[in-house]
Amino acid sequence: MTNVAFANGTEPASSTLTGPGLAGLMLMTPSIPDSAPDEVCPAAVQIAMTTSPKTMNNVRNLTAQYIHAAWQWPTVLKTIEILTLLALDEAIVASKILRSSYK
Amino acid sequence: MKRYLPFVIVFGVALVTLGSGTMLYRAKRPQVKNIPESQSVSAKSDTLVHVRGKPDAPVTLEEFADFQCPPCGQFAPFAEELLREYDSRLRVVFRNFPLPVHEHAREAAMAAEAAGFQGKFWEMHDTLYREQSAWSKAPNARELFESYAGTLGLNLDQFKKDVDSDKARERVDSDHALGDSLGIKVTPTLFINNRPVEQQQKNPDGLRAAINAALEEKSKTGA
Repeated sequence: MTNVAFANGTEPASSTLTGPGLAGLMLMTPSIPDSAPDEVCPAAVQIAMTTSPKTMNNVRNLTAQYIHAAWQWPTVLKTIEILTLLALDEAIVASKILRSSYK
Repeated sequence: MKRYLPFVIVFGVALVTLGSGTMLYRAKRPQVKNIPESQSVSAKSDTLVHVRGKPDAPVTLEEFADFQCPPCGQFAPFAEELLREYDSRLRVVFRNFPLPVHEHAREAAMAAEAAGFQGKFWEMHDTLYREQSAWSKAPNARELFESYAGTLGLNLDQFKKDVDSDKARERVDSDHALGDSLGIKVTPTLFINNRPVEQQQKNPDGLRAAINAALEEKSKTGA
């Protein structure tokens, strides 16, 4: 027996094994509830998430588009990196010039 | 400068994550507003609201409830206990907030209002909560409400007319509209002197502490 922490305090509990083949794996209960507490009635019951076929189609098309464009990603990333470094270097040079001009 | 870039990126991502996490937390947390002075019971005619206890008590416990909600049913006897305990220092106000997820909640609220037209709101209120488990699962709850009206000695013909009347509907809708405007999402939602009771205070000790604090505040202000 061990103490398990819940949102409203600790309680003695024992670990539950999911099966002989998975010895050591524990079932865990979240200590902070993610739904309305039991002592109230919520205004709406949470229903299972549904997706329309049109949305699914759009997601599929976007995924395909992304995969086709994926080969360009290293170039895009490299360009962003170079531009960022250039901007930072420019800023450093500018600050150095400004500092020297004030001396 | 290049060696600092990963740190800048990590810091930026962490900042964005923290910001969106905070926004999500704030969005998910129900925000119940205070009851505005114009809508408070003292500012209105008492015939429009259901008040139990001394009408000019210093502390008002206002409840937005649904007759089919089991936690509201559990709270009802405790509210009576509080009334006995605090005697003339507390009054309880009931507001209808039937939830659409409960099949007969709205009909029950209308039945309570109809009983109220014959001066028996609180008697019907108590009966509905006491018999909640019976009518909640009944296919035709209306018949049971009528039987309760008969038991309470109401004029049954009048009761039947009043249950479907616009007047009863308006009363239920007006309470519900007030609840919606305050951001109520669950029942029971409680207010003490127009201020919402926090979730962690919704227990016997928490409520007593909140009532005591309200009493103390009233005695300090001398109201």
